[in-house]
Amino acid sequence: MAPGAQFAAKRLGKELTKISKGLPAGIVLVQGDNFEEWLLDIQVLDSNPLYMGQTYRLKFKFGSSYPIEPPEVVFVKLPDRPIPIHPHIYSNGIICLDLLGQQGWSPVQNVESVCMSLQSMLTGNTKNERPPGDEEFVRGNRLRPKDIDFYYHDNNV
Amino acid sequence: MITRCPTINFASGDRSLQQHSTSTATDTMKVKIKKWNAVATWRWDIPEDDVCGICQVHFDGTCPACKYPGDDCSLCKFGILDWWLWTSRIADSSTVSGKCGHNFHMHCILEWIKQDSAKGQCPMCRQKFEWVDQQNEDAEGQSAPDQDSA
Repeated sequence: MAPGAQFAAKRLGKELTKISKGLPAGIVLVQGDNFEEWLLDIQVLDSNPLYMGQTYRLKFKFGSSYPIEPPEVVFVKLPDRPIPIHPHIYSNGIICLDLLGQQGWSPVQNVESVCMSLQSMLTGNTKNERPPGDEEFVRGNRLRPKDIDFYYHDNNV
Repeated sequence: MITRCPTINFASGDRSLQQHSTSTATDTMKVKIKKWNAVATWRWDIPEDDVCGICQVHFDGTCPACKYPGDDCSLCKFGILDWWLWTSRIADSSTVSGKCGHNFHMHCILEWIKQDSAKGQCPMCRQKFEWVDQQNEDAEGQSAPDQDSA
């Protein structure tokens, strides 16, 4: 195992220990049996009609440089897990959030704090819409989320 | 960590020891300490529940890059060591901690700060991460938050 991967594994082990003692309301660890990919479910707990009663599946992929580099986080579509509608979430599950990009990430962030940020990103949203250019992006994009050069222009949602 | 207790060699030997165990309180045993070993423990002068925000490991443990704390993990902690003084291209003085008051394992913060995307900022507060200059600190009698001796 490369030294970096060991760092990532130890850090994720610490996070698992903490998670096993409890996660904030509306966040559930679905799968975390390795140090490469975890699945979590999140719910929005307030009465925002856009998201009420829904559960969303998140996939975290950790590189060997985690937490120095951000994890790749996307929403996953399943029969009972839609992709939440949001002006910063593409219909293929890719999320445009500065926190998850190289520029906004900080190594003190963790799986739990990312989930909470996404919960609050949904909670605060009132727009029932996808990002501009969603269709073309979803059709044409072959890049991994971390390689997409998002332009973070909107500080309101 | 060494946990040996002080060693006392009884000058009068085993016989007087035995005598002591059966004697009354008024009797006193003559003991001459011939040799003793002092033992000390140390810990970082930061709150006990504080963990390194980057690796989430307590400061009394090592960072994930190291196996042993203390001398064998000499680069793990800010301060004490002059390693930074001799090897750093970023700072030219011995360092203890960030001026913003946030502590990290030495290895952990170095991993972060060498990233372009870190922009030289503290991962906690995003202020410019500046190392506390221990020598100036001593000279001026100032102390950084959470760190006044190491």
